[in-house]
Amino acid sequence: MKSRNRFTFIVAIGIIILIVIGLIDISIGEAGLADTAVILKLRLPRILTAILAGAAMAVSGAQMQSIFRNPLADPHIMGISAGSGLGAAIVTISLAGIGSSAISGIGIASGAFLGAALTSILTITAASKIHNGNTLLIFGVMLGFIFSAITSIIEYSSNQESLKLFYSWSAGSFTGNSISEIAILASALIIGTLLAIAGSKGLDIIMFSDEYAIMSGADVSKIRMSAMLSSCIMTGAVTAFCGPLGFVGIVSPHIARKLIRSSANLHVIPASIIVGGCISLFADLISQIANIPLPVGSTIALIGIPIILTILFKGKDNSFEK
Amino acid sequence: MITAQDLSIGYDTPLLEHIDFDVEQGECIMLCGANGSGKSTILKTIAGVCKPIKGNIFVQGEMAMVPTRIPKVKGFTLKDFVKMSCFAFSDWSGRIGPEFEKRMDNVLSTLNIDMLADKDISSLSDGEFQKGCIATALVRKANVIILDEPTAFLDIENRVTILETLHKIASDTGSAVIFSTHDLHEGIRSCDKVLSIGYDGKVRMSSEEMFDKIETVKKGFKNKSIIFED
Repeated sequence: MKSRNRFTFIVAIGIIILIVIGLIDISIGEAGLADTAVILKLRLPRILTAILAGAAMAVSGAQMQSIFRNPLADPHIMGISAGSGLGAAIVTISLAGIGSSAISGIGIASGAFLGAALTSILTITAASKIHNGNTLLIFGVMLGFIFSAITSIIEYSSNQESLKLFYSWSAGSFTGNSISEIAILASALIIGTLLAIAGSKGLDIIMFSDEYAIMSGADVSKIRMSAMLSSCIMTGAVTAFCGPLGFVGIVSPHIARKLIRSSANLHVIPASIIVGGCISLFADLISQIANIPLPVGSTIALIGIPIILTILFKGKDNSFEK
Repeated sequence: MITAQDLSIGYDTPLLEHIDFDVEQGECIMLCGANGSGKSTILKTIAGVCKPIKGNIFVQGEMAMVPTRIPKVKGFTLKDFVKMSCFAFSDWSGRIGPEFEKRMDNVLSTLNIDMLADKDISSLSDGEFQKGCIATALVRKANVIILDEPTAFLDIENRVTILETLHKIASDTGSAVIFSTHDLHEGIRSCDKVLSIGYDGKVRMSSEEMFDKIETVKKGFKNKSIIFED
């Protein structure tokens, strides 16, 4: 099968799988499909959030893996999730005295978004000054460590109530998002994906080496900045509304590349959207089947870890290079 | 095609000074010197990646540089890889026009790698891939082609094939080809002239005579037991 036909076939199959998982997911619950209000107000927003969040993390992961030439890179590695965690922790402490859970929820989301945005500004500023991919990667990892350390200090001095609030955010959840929040998430995914698709030929050439990209007339700093901006917009929105979601960003692009048998980002990015959406929705389905409140972050990790370990131990897939 | 006049090169402080040489149309030049002598810096200065500290470098026409050891990234066909090098000439999606498509097909068949066009580059041998790297320069219709160690990590047969290919490209297309290498024995037979970076810091250009090429290479190294057999 020609690569273009294969890509179309895989995307079509992926969409069908996504719809099937979505239909099963929407019908699970005490009321089944009888209660329209439950479906429209609770289940549909949750399913949409799961798909959008998984897709956004997957596109971010595909870009990060390309610009850092590292198969295990994702937005977490750049410290964005740690930054949003710090933002959420600061807000939790500040809101400790306020009883309303609605105010606390919005406050934590805003704090997380601000934290992610500030980390993104720091990272994008660093990307404009640091031209070496590895140095930029180390910068991101260090930033993540610093933010996690400060978050731990804040947690240590928090009371029980604020700790519970913070932990319920950091465990991750697709529930409780309003239509306007879902619209923000969708907008972030559309803007981020458009930036990624527009920069796809740059993402391809930078996977070889900075030197080869420069010699071919590409501006490597511009490519990195654009990918960072796109990833930051999407990760910021996802962490604010769903908590820090790991693993989807790492595994989805790998599965997408394997399925379409190509590393060309023009095809990898749309395929990652489908794969990321499917993984995230599948994690939500498991939570619903289990009928106990499973934290989304942990469920995705349980699905993602075996895939990551397979990638690591299957020697020939350890790197993009051969 | 390439003229260096009282050129000083380096990054912060001059690495090499008072460099003067001319490369004519259709000439194939071998650049040699010890590790760390400044071969890559000279090539990058010709390519315009590094700015000269002093003096001038003039390059006529389109120039393309093939860096050393480009990794073979999985998931790209040879055609994708060659297309990618036309970054400045392709649209946002990486598509190149019909003129470039036709030229790419011609270049691949000239280099005898047209049958590999749709193969994943990770499945190519090092020699086949190196020819693909040379194709990236030819497809851009460059008349000055610069290659940094194109024979690194290749076996003897591939080294000779690649160097003979470069010589043929220069004589057939009239392009000026300059390549750096540590494979002196094979390189000296496949080049028109030698540009040697001496251990004394002097950069010398030989004539086309084999004797002069050998003498110029020898001036690049302290060890006098480097022997060339005709």
